[in-house]
Amino acid sequence: MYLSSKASRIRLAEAEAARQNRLEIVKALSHGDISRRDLFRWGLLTAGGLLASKNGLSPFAPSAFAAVPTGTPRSPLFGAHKFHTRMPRPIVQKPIPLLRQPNGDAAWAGYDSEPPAKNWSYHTDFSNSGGMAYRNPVTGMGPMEGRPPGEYFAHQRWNELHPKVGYCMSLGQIEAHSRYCDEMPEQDANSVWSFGTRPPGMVSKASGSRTGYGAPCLIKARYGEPILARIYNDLPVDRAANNGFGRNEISTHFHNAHNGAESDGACNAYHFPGTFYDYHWGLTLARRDMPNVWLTTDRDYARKASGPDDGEGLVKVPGDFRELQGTLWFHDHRFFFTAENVHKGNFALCNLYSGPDRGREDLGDGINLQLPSGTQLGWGNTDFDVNLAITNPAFSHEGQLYFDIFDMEGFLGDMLCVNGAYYPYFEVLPRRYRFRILNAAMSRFIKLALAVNKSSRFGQGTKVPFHFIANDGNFVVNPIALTELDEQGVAERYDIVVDFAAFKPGDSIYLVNLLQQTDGRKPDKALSVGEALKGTGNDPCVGAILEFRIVNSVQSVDDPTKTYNASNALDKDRSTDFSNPDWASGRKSLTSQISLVAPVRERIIEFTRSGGGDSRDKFTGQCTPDCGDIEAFPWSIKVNGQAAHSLNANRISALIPKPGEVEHWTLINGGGGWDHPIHLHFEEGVTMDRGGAFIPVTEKLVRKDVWRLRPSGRVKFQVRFGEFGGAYVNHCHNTTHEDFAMLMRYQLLTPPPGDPDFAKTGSRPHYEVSKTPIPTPNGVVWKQPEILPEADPKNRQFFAQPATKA
Amino acid sequence: MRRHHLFMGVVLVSLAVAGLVSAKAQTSVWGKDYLPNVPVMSQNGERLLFYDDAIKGKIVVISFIYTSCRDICPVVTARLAQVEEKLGAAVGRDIFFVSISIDPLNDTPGKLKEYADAFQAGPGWLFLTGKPEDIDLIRYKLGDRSRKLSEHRNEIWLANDATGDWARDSVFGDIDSLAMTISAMDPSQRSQMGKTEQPGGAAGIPHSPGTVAGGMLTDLPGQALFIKTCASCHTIGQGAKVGPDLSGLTTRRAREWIVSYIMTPDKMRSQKDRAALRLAEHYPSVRMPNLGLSTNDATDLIAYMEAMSYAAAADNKSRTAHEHVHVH
Repeated sequence: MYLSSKASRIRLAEAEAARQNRLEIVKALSHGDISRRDLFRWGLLTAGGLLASKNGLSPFAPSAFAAVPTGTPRSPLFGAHKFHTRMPRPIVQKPIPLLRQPNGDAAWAGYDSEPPAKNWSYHTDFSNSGGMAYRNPVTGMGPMEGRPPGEYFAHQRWNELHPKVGYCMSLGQIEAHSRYCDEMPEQDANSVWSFGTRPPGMVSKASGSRTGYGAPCLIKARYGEPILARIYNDLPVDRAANNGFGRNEISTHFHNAHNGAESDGACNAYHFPGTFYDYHWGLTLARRDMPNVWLTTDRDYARKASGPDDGEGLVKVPGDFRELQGTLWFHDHRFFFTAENVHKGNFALCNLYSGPDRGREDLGDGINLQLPSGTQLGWGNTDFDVNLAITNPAFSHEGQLYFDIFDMEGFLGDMLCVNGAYYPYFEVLPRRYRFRILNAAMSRFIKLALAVNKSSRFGQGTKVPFHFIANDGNFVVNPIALTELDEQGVAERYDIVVDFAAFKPGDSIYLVNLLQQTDGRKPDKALSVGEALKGTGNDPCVGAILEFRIVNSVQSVDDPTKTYNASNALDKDRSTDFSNPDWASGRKSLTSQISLVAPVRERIIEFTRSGGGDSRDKFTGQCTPDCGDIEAFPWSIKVNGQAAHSLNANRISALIPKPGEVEHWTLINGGGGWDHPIHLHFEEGVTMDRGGAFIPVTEKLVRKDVWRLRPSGRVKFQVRFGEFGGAYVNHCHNTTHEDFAMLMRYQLLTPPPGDPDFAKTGSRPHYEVSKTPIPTPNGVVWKQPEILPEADPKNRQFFAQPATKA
Repeated sequence: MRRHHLFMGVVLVSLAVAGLVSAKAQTSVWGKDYLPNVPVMSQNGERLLFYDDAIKGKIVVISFIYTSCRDICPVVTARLAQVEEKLGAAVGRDIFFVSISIDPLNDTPGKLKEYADAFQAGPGWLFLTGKPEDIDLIRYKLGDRSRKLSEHRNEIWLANDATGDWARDSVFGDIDSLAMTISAMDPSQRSQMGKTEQPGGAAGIPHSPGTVAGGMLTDLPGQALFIKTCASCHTIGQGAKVGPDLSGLTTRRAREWIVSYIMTPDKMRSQKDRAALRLAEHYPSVRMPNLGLSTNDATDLIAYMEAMSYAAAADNKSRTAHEHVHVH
């Protein structure tokens, strides 16, 4: 069982001794130093051959001493105390202006040493030079850019969405002196690999560069200002130098940004140490090409479809304002290593700002929603708009970040950290705040509430109400008053607004995790706030995870020379108050509903652990050798009622034959013992129903990109694809499950030559299917797919009829 | 996370800890201290120690099987056999395959031998069984923590014990890519990946992709499915493999029979369908599995088999005509 820090010293000493014993015994056994007979004699081995769950000796007992919930010994804490560490804010990345060159390249202003960004990958130049030029400067082998060569991996809509700002980032080893809290040891260079700012022109080293930050990076993006993100792989060339987990080959998936497939961060488009990959994040507003679906009945529809300029104005962009996105993140997607790499720190945050959501609370232009944020900057204020990235680490005996690569059901850590800090605290003024909460764990579901820890007015444990404003970065139409959030699966983002005005300096509020989970497959149950605050022996992650301390004054992060003072009238809260009758009555809203319409096609996708039901022989009643379920492939799909096997790619993956058609998708979880957060890349779906099951108000008709299917559950949503082409995926975001092929590929085909829309989309080669790239240290090689990945149903070449054989 | 810490005392302590760690980091986290060195038996009846004899210092491809598995596992083994063939002489010399039975009570070395032979597994491929408690320990340690046999993991492990490099993979991806990934477990092979010898001896440089056109034998939708799910056990006109040659199948059997056998072979065997039982007799080690295929899938496969049978027959005919002069 888990022991709280209040347990007696003797008890803690016992626990430590047992942990050591267990390690010693397992090791001695595996070395052959002791025999099973010895263990049996000592009463430690059961007749079945399992180590008895005595003082945590059994490697099999799931609830053994010191083994919850990681299945390995509890992480050592080195005397760490909760709520002693100030919560780090994400590290805001500074944009570098890009200058458009006559040949269409984008040069980094002020940095001649950094090669300009180009439409086609430098890999093309490398190949054209016979491999003599544009080489990886660290290894001298292969191209300097990991993006595959040729037109198929050229940036779609490059000229139209030419990047205006660049971010030069490094995925590197953790900076020296980084730790999860004061008491815990520094992380080794190869224990944590994370994003950091890369000085342009920096020279990489074969042994890796310590450029990664201990807190997540944050990019503040805005509509109308396309981005080029150059991401360098600054990890060690020796791929075994990983302290036990993580692969030094990376692919950066911008979770649900509306980008071309070449910039989606595909799981098979990874790149090697010493190389970079240029991602074109054009910040396209969805339905750019479909003015016919814009909500022209809203007199402000055109002004709402916009980004903030540097002053107080708007930069209008084509698209449907109901598709505006806000809270996003990007993370590794390397096939088979996503779980390890994300756990190791390979993720960062992106807030996407728009006219209605410009991150400035004092500008009343009739479009700006004036959400809590701050007033120091023209847009993108974060003084009162706070990202909370929740991770779920575990540590080795030495205190280094740990991951059990052999836990294939989903590895659970035994603590929750926020923005890279062990159970931190955060000082807030008695006013409204917006929190953008991301579950950045691998397999852990959470369920959060706010409760009073200490207050002169309210009793301990009193729930603090808040408003829910966005799900997965998409506004709900009307703010929803809640006292606790729904469950939150991996990669789900919930934006909430909390008003601390009822509290006084000195008061303290906890952010509390109510959800108990001891098994990577699904959570056990939610506890009440009272129970959760007491803690449970079953799961150390239940309870308070972050303390909000009400204070009189805070220093601005947007302008560090500024200090906000609660008693200063000039610093008063100017953000929207959702308890105002205009909001409470629904007269004012955050966005407008996308209506449900009859679909062009319906797809039913069933994710399975076990397919055909009980394998008991229906006739003899016998089982060989046990009565398990029939094993099955990870998913199957029905399109308009026609079933196909997960491997029958020609049928199932002829998925999105043309842009703009409305589809209804039903995702079904065939396995009762598991829950899966399923992620659809590239487009959001309007959540319709969960079969006959309860659907929370935070989901009903709400746009999302990750859905928890629930054990044996289902979810149906409406989706429309458009603007870009190429291969995308739909997969489980329990990053361990995702690595195990709960991943299906879909292809968006763009209009072919001759179609009136061909020129418009600029996605020239994406009307046809390409060979599959296989990255190697010497460059990409191309593979004729063993399975044709997908095909256009109109294309006779792929859909010739059997009758033609005669 | 805390950055640039200022308290010197704490820094000193943690430097000491970091020192210990980096000294230790030289040995693999998942090596001899982690993997159990328990006794196991091979398909040839040899008594081995799991770590010392099957893993130590080697590049290994590890899978979990049980011989009575009727669903996916035979396909996993059959596809591994295809990979083995692709890797050629390297298997048994540089690369070793290890399939661990998770049903050791039923899977005797004799049964494993029959199973290995059915897939024509070469000498570089160990099929291991042992005492249940030892096998339990191995499979727990290697991540197969399933509660029921039928829930066991069908993913495979690639490991290089010499470098401490472990990677998960799946046989259901592309076979050529998998063979490449396995070869790349050897760092010296890895540095050669992507180089192809060109005429004149210069290292070849990868070129642009082009699109998928030609290269495939037919345009039929069943082809991809056949390659993925059937070809590891069956040929069309190239002779029997793990299962029978499917050439001319539609001339031998009724269409309805083929459809139901493709979809639910297990059901037909239990219904005592005579043809299904005869097939089970002829190919005793591996029974045709239930692959969860739909009617559409079966229809696609039949169309493909018909087309290929026609092609194979035409090919044979022309070859026979050609050889006629010499043979007779």
